[in-house]
Parts: sequence; C-alpha cells; structure tokens
Amino acid sequence: MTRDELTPIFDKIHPLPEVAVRVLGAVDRDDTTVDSLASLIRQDPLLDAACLRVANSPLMGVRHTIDSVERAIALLGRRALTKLVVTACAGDTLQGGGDGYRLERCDLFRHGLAAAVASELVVGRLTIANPGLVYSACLLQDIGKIALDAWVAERGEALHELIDDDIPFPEAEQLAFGIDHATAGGWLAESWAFPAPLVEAIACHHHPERAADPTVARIVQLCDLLCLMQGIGCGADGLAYQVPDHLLANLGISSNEVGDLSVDLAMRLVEIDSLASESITP
Amino acid sequence: MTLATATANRLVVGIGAMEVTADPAASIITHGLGSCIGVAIFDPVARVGGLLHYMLPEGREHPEKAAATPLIFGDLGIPRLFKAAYALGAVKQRTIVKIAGGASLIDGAGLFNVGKRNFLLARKLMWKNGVTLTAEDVGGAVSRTVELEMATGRLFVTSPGEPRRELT
Repeated sequence: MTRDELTPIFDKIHPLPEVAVRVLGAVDRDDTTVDSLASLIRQDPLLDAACLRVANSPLMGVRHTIDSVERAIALLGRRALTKLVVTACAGDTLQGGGDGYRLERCDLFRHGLAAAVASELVVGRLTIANPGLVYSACLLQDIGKIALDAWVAERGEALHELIDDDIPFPEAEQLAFGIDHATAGGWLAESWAFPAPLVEAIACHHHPERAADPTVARIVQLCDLLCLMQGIGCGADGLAYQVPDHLLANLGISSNEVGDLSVDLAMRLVEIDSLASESITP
Repeated sequence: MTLATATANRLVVGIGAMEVTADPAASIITHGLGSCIGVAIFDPVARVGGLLHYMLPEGREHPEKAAATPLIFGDLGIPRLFKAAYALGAVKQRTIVKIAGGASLIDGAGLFNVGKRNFLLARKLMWKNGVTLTAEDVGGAVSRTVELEMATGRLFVTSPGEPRRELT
C-alpha cells in the first residue's frame, strides 16, 4: 500500500484539533510560556471543556477542583498542561482500529493512555529532556491502525496466517500489505503537521534503530510492550511483537525494574479505564 | 440463552484482584489476560467458585509491592484464592482448578518472559499442594478473557476475533 493510496483515507480520519497540534509543537520548548498555552486553549471552547474534564480526573492526581485553564496551569504547571491538552484531544481521534484489528471501541485510546502513563513511570527512572514528546508519542503511537483498519478488515486473511506462523505483527503487516501501522502512523502524523520528532517516534516505535533519536522511540516501544503484557489494547495482534535483545540495556533499565514498572502501571489502571471510558463519545 | 442474560450478577476481576462467591446467579469475569494468569476454581458440591487474576509470579522479587498488593503475585494470590473459597465451604479434594493466560511476547533474550514464568509458578504451586489442574489454556501470543459461570461451574475463554469456547 502506498502513501498515495492512503492519502484519501487520511482525509476521512478525525484529526487532532489545530490548537492541539500547535500545543504539540510547543511541547518541551523552554520558550513556551504559560500564557501562550492558556490563550491557545481558550480559543477552542470544546478543548477548554475537555481539558477541564481531564484535569479533574483521578489520573491527574489533583485533589482540588479545577474550574479554569488558569487554575489548571497554577496547579499542574506548564508540562502537565501540555499533557492534559493532548490527552483531552486524543479521545476523539483514537476511536478507530475496530474490525480489522479486532479492537473494541475504547481500546486504542485506552492502550495509548496506558502507554502514556507508563512513559511517566519510565521517564521517572531516566534523565530525559523531552518527557512531553515521549508522553504524546506513547498516546498517539497507533494512529496508523485507524488508517489501515478497513484495509486489514478486507484483506486480513493473509495477515492472520502470517501471525499464526509466529511472524511478528509489524513484519506480518509489511509482508501482507507492504506497510506496517507504525509507518502509516508516521505518514498520518506528518499529514497532520505534527512536529518532526513526534512523527519519527510514531513511525519508528517498532524499529527504534531507524530513528535519528532512538531513545524516544525505545521508550515508546517499552511502554507499548508493558501494556501488551497486561493485555491492554490487545486485538488481532495480541502479544506478537518482538522484544529487541538490547532494548532494556539501551535504556539502562534492568529486567527487575520491568516488574516494578508493570506493578506501578497496574495500580493506575482503574484511573486509566475511568478516563478512557469518559473520553470516548458513545 | 447467553451467559450475559443468564446471570444477574457479573463480578469483574481487575489485575491483581480476585472474587470468590457462592452465588449461583453470579458469573466472575476477568478481561485482557496477556502474560497474566487467570486461576478459576469451583467446588461443584458446595457451589463455591473463585477467580484470581495475577500478573507476576513471585512477590519476593518485589517485597514492598508484594506487601501492598499481594494478589498481583501468583505465589501470594493463589493461596489466598483457595483460602477464601474454603472459608465459604469449598473443599480442596472436590475443587476443580482451571487456568488461562500466560501469553508471551516474542522475546529471544527472555527479558519479558513473564507469561511462561507465571504458568510454571501456577503449575508448581498446584503440584506442591496436591491439586490437579483440570484444564489449561495457556501460552501463545493471544490475549484472553475468562468467565466462570457459577450456576454450572463452566469456564469460558474468548480472544479477539475468536469464538467463545468452553475450557474443559
């Protein structure tokens, strides 16, 4: 499947709002001011309301009621606000990936949200300059599945035969369709004018070695695997993903820490599920 | 009649949790077993059943977390599941035990080899305690949802895109 063939499909997918894309561009930039983020959010009343819903969810861990963007900024800070905006917007986009990938309505967003929460746990153990980028990449890593879903539903037999033969899922997609969901996701992200580092992290999250900045893509991959191990957002792909031999060593994380991270993620699942079900339009 | 309509009380078990009941109108379900294991037990005489969803094999590798959330670990959760069922009248010799889950990533280096270790832990614990595993649906790369029907003691397994099947 070529990019030209996918472009008409991209046009039918509910994109992230323009404001959210501008916020993504401001993620982790030191010259981004709180006022500039707040004014961006206030331009869109729906986004403003969605941000307040996420801000008041147990996932954000704020005990006080947040009734305005200004209050959110005061309590959460600039970086958390960015996370809040991206989370608030992603629910509307991450509703596809159904029949072909055999996912329930909530699964893509739930998986992305869980991976994003996992990224906070992982980043807490590392020294990372761009945690907002990592969070966004984890949340949006599987947008390519939305683009390919109808294709997989129609022509998925070959794909499923390859998986039954123990071929890793992205390689099976590549063999069956000439493209995997990560590459498709990168193209979709590019067409939505996502920042280049985010495009790269999405496109390379199953092959971090292909990225100019492999660290971000490796964290996304690790968080993806942590979620799959817990059965979060598993569909037709199940757990058919390759663990690179040096993934943990490259990140400086021990295998025992994987257990700790898994437990910590499991402890957040109730909050994740609550926000995921609230954020998906019935 | 489907299970959903046949049962008035569906108990949902999250990760690192369990439910035990003697309510014949109940069903106990746990969703999305990846590398985790679901242990289902049922005493057909006392009509007591339970379901545990554990995530990691041994708590001693994570002592602080084991103290806070013991049911996340198989070696701590499985004994608690049986004891809770015994407290409701189940008897060990009559209890039917089935397990599902334990899927694995493709992991040549064994860094994430949790599914297999989870299954081996369950098998070892059962053997050490003289408990027979009646049925198992473990391994592979598929996620599983497991549902124990208390009216009959039947255990059902579903995976994405696959028909619901009884584990016998």
